[in-house]
Amino acid sequence: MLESLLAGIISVMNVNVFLGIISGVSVGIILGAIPGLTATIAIALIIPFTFYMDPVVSISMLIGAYKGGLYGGSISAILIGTPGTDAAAATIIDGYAMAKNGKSGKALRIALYASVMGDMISLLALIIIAPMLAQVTLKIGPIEFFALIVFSLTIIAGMGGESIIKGLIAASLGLLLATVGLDPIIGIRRLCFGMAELDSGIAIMPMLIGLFAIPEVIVQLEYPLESNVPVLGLSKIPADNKVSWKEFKKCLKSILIGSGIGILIGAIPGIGSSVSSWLSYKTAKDRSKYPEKWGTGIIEGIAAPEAGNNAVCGGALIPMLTLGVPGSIPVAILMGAFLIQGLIPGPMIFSENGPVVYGIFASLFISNFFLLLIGFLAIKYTAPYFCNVSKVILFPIVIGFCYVGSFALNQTFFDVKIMVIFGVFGYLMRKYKFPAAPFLIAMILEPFGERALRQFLIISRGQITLVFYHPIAVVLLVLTIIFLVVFITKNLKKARTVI
Amino acid sequence: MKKNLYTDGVIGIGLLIFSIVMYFFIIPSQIKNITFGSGGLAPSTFPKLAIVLIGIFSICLIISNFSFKIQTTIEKIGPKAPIIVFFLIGYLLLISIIGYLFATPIFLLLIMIYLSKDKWPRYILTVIIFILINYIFFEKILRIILPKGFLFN
Repeated sequence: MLESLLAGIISVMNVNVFLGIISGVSVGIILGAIPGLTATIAIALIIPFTFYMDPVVSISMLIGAYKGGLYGGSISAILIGTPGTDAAAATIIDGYAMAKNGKSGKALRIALYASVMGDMISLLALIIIAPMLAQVTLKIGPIEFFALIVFSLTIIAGMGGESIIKGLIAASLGLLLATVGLDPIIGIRRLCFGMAELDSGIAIMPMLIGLFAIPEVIVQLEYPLESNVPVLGLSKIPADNKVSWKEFKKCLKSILIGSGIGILIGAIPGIGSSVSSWLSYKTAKDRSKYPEKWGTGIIEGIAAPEAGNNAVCGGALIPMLTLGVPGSIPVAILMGAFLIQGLIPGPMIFSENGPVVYGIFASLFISNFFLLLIGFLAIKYTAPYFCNVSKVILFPIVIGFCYVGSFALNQTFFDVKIMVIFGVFGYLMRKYKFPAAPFLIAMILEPFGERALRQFLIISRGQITLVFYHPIAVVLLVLTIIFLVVFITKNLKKARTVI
Repeated sequence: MKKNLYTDGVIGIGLLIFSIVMYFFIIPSQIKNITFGSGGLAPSTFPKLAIVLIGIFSICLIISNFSFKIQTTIEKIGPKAPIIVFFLIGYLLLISIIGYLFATPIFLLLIMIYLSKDKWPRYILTVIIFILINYIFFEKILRIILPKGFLFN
């Protein structure tokens, strides 16, 4: 493995990869810092620029944007008390309090250190765990893979939003729309309504640009715009803008707790970085010697959630790379980018595209270094400006990028129409509380699941009962039923308390 | 946040009607019912399965709303949302007529002025820079021909 990693490091030592990472991290930080634009939107908007790049450069740039976006969210959380991304909401408690105490520079720096450390630790976990897990998952057959997809989708649908039933409906809608196009085994048209453009199915990239960027734009602009909130600047006392070694040591425990939780939450499908940062905050607070001080602007209160939300990145890549199952929206989008580049995430990726995957691992290391560097520069020179970008200018420009971006991959105007349709659909889903994650992930996973089940049935000559000779599949399907019952019962119990 | 008591139930009824129409009318007319090889599933099996799931969960949504009075806290649609959607569709039509590079400045300026008339000189500058970036990056560097529209095609 070390040799492969070294080969990966050598393969990324070129200017293009560095430029890709620098631009990805920079755009991620800027978009993450702007309230209303998230790491997810950052990735969705960057993807069109990466279609024609080398796979390593493209994926490094996107992951750089993901990491940058996760950190960027903390900038506005600290400076204006509004999280740039959901994942940074927990950072507000102590971050904004600290900024109000005149120590915004210190808060931004510890958020940066914690983010980078969280990233680094989760990356180590990814590099150690993913290849080992891939060895195990190589042994699973089509029916186990099908059962795994069904199980993951149930978990994602059940944990994604306010209503479990709506999560399940969203996942089912995703399954339905994913069947549009040519049948994967026989090749006849399904639900194409005579449109040749739909033969290859609904294009994933325009769909997700529409589904995530357009609803956010409409939500940000649908009410009369408020005047900008005041931004807290950096202190003139140098000590207030720095983190001393003693302070950093004090935060180490919180960073480790946050990183551990982030990796775990990231690896479990359907939870995401927002939960991770809150859980990290709460756990670190409970284990602190002075929990009563949390919330008044203490440094550990920033370190824990920031390490927690950034560590999700590496953790979430584990199931995506080894099983081909993305657990959250940004990772599902990344999986889409992998597929565009001809890389199929799953157990075979290490044997079929080993050099590329290790190249990506190596670039993740490098992107941490650049996150630190660009983060420093952002704190020193530009951070306050990101928080107060004019919405009147920014969001129409985002729309312009959505149109050109969705056109760029296949160079067909039909994709732009798809983007607009999904944009309006995503907006309505959001308003009526249908979670987008199960919808998107079901849409990405359906072709794999369908192919796996149909392969199994062809091999077993249509005898579905042969599934009982596959204990892993049986366990996963039984667990799916148990989780479904648990989720629905929980929903009903919650309802009774509401009444 | 707004709480309408029966919104979820109404959505559930809509989805149920959708699933019935899809199952009995659309899928049979849009997918040929052929199977391939022993044990092979028909191409319509998965779409039908998805539709059945939508139907079942819609019934759950209707029951949970009308019988158990469960209603998720839906968000109110903002006053400008329909107009922004109108802008999006208008932009789409405009691109198909005069192409991306001409439609974009018109769309951007109109929507910016609609949102706020305060800083229009800044809007013009932003739009020019945006169009230049798009033109240089997509047309010159990536050699992608942006939509020309039927007037210029």
